[in-house]
Amino acid sequence: MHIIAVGLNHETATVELRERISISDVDLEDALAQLRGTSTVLESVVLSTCNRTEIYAVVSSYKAGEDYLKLLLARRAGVERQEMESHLYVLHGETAVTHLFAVACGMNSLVMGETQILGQVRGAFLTAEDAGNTGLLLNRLFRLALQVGKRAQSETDIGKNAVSVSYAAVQLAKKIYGSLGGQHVLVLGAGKMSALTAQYLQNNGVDKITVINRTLTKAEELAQQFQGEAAHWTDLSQLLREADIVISSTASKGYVLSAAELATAVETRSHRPMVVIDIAVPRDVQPEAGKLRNVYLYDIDDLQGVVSANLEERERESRMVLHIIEKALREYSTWLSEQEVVPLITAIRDKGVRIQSEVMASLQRKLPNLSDKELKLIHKHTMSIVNQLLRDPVKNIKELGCEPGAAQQIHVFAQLFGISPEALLRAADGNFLAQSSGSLSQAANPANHAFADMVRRWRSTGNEQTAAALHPVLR
Amino acid sequence: MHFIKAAADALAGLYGLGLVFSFTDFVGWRRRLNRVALLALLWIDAVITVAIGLVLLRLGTTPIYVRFYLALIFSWGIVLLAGWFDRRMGIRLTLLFACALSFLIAACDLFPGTLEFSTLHQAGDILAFHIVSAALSYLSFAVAFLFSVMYLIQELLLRRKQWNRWYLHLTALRTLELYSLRLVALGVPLLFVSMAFGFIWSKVHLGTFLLADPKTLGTVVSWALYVGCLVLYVRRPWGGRGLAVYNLICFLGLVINFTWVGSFSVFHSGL
Repeated sequence: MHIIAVGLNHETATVELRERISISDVDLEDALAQLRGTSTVLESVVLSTCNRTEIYAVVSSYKAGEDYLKLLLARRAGVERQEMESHLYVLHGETAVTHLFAVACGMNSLVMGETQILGQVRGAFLTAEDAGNTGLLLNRLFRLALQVGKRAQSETDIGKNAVSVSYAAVQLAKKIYGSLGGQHVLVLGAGKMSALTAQYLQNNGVDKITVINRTLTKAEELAQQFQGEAAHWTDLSQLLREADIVISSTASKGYVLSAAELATAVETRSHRPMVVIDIAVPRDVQPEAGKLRNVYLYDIDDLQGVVSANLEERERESRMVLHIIEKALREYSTWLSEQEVVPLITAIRDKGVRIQSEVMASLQRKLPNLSDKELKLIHKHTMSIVNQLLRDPVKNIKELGCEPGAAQQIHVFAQLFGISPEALLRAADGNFLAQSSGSLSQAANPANHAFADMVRRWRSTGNEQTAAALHPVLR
Repeated sequence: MHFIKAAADALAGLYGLGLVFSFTDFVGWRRRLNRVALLALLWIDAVITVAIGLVLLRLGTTPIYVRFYLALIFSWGIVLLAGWFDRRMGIRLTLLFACALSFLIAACDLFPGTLEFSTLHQAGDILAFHIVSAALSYLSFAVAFLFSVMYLIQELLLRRKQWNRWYLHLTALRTLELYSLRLVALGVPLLFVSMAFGFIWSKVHLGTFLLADPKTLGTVVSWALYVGCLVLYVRRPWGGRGLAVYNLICFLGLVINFTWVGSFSVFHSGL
């Protein structure tokens, strides 16, 4: 049993190819049904967004699984397999899992750290789960991926700083005012950029938006979008005195705001700071205004500078996210190992319960006068003995199951508790993980596997050793 | 007292370690170093607690009457308060700046050679209240000073349009100004209470109000300067930058009064 990811994204394929391969919501059900219909794929999730189409699957063999998924994508897109092959990436085991975690964190997105992808991963998983395409392995993997994505967003700044010019203006205003609640925004010009920036500012809690434009009707149209007010250009001086944030984006070829006008306005503002964002080219605000006390003037180049700095910061933050991903990979590996010993634990617990039942039956025969209350009490205490006796061994076997050479450990453990290999395999009935790749099926003849495990450890160094320490499904 | 001297060395070292690791974490984003820095600060907490406990056992008096011990508690208080602002209130880098200030206090006051074990005043409730309220007001002023420093750095970056990591991690100007002023507003009444207790103590124990003492006069001036800071904030004759610079001057005055002017005082030479 193996985990595989096959797909393409904005880095490997052109938008034309991505469009063709993309699986829409309408087609998704059909694609999932196709995946369910084959015995090669045991579990599957299809993630299709504007920037990527990926299939995550649990397959019985890498070769067969890879061939099937490639063919499926090629057929659905109506392209030759060879044509598509150079754009596809095929990831196995550890790399597939790490890739999914990175995708959920937005590390693989066009804009690093974007948060929308996390919702898309969640949507893809829930759809596949509802359709019955997922099982034990992918359910756990995707839930973990969603957790990792959330942690990346909450514990690091990977998605926090602005990466668009309009949002950079909001960030700058926030660096001065802290909260934008209660601030008054004055928008000069009714262009698209003004509208976008004003929209972001409103989303961040500004109280009042006033739009000034040479053509009043355009100003009124824009003001209406934000439940703001429109004003005549002649009111500019008065409004400048009241405004905390000025966004200027007119089509004027000369300056529309002089340093002198701003100086006059600032003098009457009791030294409250004023943020002036000039996103027009050519510029609207006389650059000398930036030298005024309490006036913070930024033009389009400054905003680009903020965006570049923020992108660099996101890159730096991604190192933190890698740590989170690494930890999650180990967690998944440990969980996989634990799943393998579940049948053994079940077998031991069943044996314990059986012995307790036999003892109770014997007691009832030998002491027939015991009341129900007494029997209940004895039952409770004998069960407590069973549970207490098994608590530490169960805990220890879970840990041993994660270590290299687990097959031999499980074998010894099963022998100690008198669990036959047949009983073990019977308990594993229905647990694909334990049956196919795990240590349990090897426990019947552990010597060969222990030797193989030892040789593998001798031969592996550095990263290989890390990989070897992971569960076989991830290798 | 050998332990106390060793503890002083260890303390200065730990502050240094906390400072270096906090800074390295800030520059290179190393979470492990951040943890080491926090661990260093926890150790400081432990060292100070043990040191104060030992003083209580050996001398049988509260350690607030000796400048050395007070400096220990004071530096610890700065880190504690700054840590609260940094971690709880989300005002990033406060801990880093607090480490720098505490390290400075430790380096100036705690290194052996400048330790003053000899000056031990008579313990008394009024004197204890006087010292504790003064220390708390100094603590408020110290963290307000840190916020003003952070304000000036952030303001400079916003003016020079330098979009570096300091700019990204330093908090908004308005927030820094607000917290700085709130702490000054807390420190002013505390210092007033401290002065009142000081006068009462001098009247009770010396039979006169000590007005001519250089440190007393210096403290009154410092207090008046801080009251001026609050008035300036309300009346707003300057912008936030002017106010931040004024706050730095106030704190500088407070430090000069505590260290230099205090040395001319007959009654405050140890504190």
